[in-house]
Amino acid sequence: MTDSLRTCPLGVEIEICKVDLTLRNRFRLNELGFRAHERMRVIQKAGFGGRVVAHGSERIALDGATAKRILVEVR
Amino acid sequence: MIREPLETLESGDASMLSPQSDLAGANDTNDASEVSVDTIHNDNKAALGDDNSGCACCAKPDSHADCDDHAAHADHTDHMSHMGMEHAEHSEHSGGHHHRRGLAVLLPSQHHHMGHEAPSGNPRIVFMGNPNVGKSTLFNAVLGANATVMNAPGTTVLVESGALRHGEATWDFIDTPGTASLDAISPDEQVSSEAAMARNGYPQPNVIVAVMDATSPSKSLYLLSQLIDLGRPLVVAVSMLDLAKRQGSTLEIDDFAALVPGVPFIQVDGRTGKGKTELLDAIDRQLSAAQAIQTTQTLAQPVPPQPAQLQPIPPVTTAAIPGREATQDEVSAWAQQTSDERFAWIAGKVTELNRKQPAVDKPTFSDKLDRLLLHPIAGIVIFLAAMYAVFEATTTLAGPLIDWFDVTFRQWLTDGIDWVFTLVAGKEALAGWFHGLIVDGLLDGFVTVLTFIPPMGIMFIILSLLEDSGYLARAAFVMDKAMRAIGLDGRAFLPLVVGFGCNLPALASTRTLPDSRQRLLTGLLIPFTSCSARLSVYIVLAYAFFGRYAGLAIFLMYVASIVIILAVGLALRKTQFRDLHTQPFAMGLPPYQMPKVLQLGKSVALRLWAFITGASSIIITMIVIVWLLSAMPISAGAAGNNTFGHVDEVENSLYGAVASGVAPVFEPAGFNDWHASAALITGFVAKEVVVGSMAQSYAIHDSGNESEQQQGTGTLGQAVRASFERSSGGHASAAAAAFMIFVLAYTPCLATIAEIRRQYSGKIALQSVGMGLVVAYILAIAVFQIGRLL
Repeated sequence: MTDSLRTCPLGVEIEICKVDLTLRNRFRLNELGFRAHERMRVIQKAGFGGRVVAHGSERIALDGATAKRILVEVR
Repeated sequence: MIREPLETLESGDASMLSPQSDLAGANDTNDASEVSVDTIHNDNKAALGDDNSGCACCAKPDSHADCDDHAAHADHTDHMSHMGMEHAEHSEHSGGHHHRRGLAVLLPSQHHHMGHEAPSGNPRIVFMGNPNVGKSTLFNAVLGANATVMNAPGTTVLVESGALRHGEATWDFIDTPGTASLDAISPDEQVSSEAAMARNGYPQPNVIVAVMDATSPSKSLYLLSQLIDLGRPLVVAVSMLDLAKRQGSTLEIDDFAALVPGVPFIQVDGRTGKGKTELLDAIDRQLSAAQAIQTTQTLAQPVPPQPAQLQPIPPVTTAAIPGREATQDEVSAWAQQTSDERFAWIAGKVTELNRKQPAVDKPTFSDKLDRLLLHPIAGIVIFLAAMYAVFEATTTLAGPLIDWFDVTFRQWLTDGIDWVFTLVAGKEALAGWFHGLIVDGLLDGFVTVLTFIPPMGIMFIILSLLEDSGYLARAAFVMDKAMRAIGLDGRAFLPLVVGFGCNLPALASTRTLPDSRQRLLTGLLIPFTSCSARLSVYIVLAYAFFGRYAGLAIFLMYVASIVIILAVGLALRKTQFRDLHTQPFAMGLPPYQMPKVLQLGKSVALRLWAFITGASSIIITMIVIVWLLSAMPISAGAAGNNTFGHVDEVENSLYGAVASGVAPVFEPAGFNDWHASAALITGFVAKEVVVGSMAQSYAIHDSGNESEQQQGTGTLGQAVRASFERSSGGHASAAAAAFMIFVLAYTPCLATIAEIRRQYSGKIALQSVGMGLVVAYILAIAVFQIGRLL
């Protein structure tokens, strides 16, 4: 079932399905590791829907609007 | 190792057209020791074949057309003319590098720029890396006091640079803004991309130092893969390896080095300076390797077998690299075209690393701390508490220290000067104009600069703590949503809060904003934050005009300050900053670290010194000018004995004449009164002296023991009320409100202007002054005209 990075549960492994942003912003997120089939975990909820994602040993903070546009699948 | 400031080497700059001119220039302009340095530069340049002799990275002589792997070098054939252009540009720029002192600072000047200026002929070492990987900390550890901050050409993007002597050679270092990719999405990233790719007039880097964060290798590998493809000699500095180990990583520096055979990987820690020597040695080896290959090529000798680190590194992708004339769109196209190959390469390298260490899934110390510090509610509360602490520290804590400089230290210096005057010319010399110039002009300016040291020092300590600990990146995230309304990063909240204490440290703290456009917008908004110095004016006028509503009137001034910031912010966003896109917030969070006291102390000292040397000349000069205006009599005075330096009343001085000339401008705002305009002119220098200036203009003795409240309800208040009653046609309260709003919105003080000029440019400082005056004038008129109807 497809979820968004903002609504998926914390701490579970997810797989990126789609980054639904403009080409420019999508590519930058791709460069930062948000690419189709990449696996990561949402580990922290922050204010205004923001999320912190664990990608290996990296920690990436995303604002709520962007987190909502990243579609994921819980593994 | 001897360090030498970049500026001392600039006599050799204008020598890029040919090696001969290089030597000639050195002989003409330098002393013997410098000649030897320039000769070495020349040798390096010729041997490295950096710009017009050959391709150092692929060991093919002269023609890059033969260099299959490095298509980017195909445009080297036009490089001689390109260097000529840089030379010409430098001729224009060179004047801007001389230190300007005294009155010279008031003349139009070329703002400090870097990058497009002619290269000095020294090997150019460019630092590249993602944001928050410790790149600038490492850069400062390597360069120390030799690092100077300046703007990249035609931009307000801050770039650090400096020269360092290593052995017999001198190298030029450039620290670029943090970037995730050569495909730039902001002006700051564009500067980094251009500096690495030698585009838009930037010289070719001789060595690129890629700083890699051991705690997030895949993020660093993306940029590294692009840098590898550029084909320039490369050194990778691996930071935070100790931190990665504390988080459970078992990777050693050799494991990282195995990712890209042939490229030296050095473990570094910018906070302690660890790995600095090894890093410099690795850079030296890369330069020597390129030189050795070039020498072999030049002598047409067969290439001997090369050790691994001298062999060209195979590129990650096969597409042609955009040339030096490529636009940013062409670079974007290249980045997107090669991304699949690159992502596959990264995946392979990450798999390699993961094979060598167990997967770490358990929460780290930083994760646990973030549960609290990034919590949707607690995170914001803690952030606001932290901001309050910063505000208190830069005001309450700094207060006694400021007073010590302003009162005790000033008295010591005055006593000392008096003693010298008495000794040299007798007691009567103390009444002379020269003594007045020294004590009330130069010394006053000097002490004014000193009074800014405590708040600035405290601000720099706090900034270093916030930056080094990793909390500032979290602050950006916590306040992101709130600041987006005016197109700013969450980090802009800090300077705006601090501005309510003192605008000067607030301006200093804008350096933490990674985006130059946001930094500029924040810098233009800070003067509208109502600093504590303005409070003294509010209190006197509020108690003089609004009696029991004085508290409310003062509170409304702070509300007005916030409203003005939002209104001006939105107006600028719709006009000058239309290009400020609200991009997705996606930021790597660095792990929390304990700041190192020694490094912190060094960093604070360097920042303070840069402030003192950068802002003092304009502050002192302007204060001397104000003294001169008030010392020049325009009439004989009541007793008929006014002379230069001895003017009985302010209105009989040139200063009073200027104030009288300006006063009618304020007729629509209700305070067409020379006392008011004289106070506003003095307030341009510093708001702290507005009340004193008013008292002086009304010839009211200021005992120094009365509070502002007492002054407002006492003789001074009565005098001001009488003046405003006359000038406003019976609407004194409306005129007082207009005067207060004018004090809030116009230029906070001379030191602020000096700092804006230092941080951005003279043009931006002028814009800030102009914008403040226009906003203040319009608001003052509006407040008076509405107020008189009530």
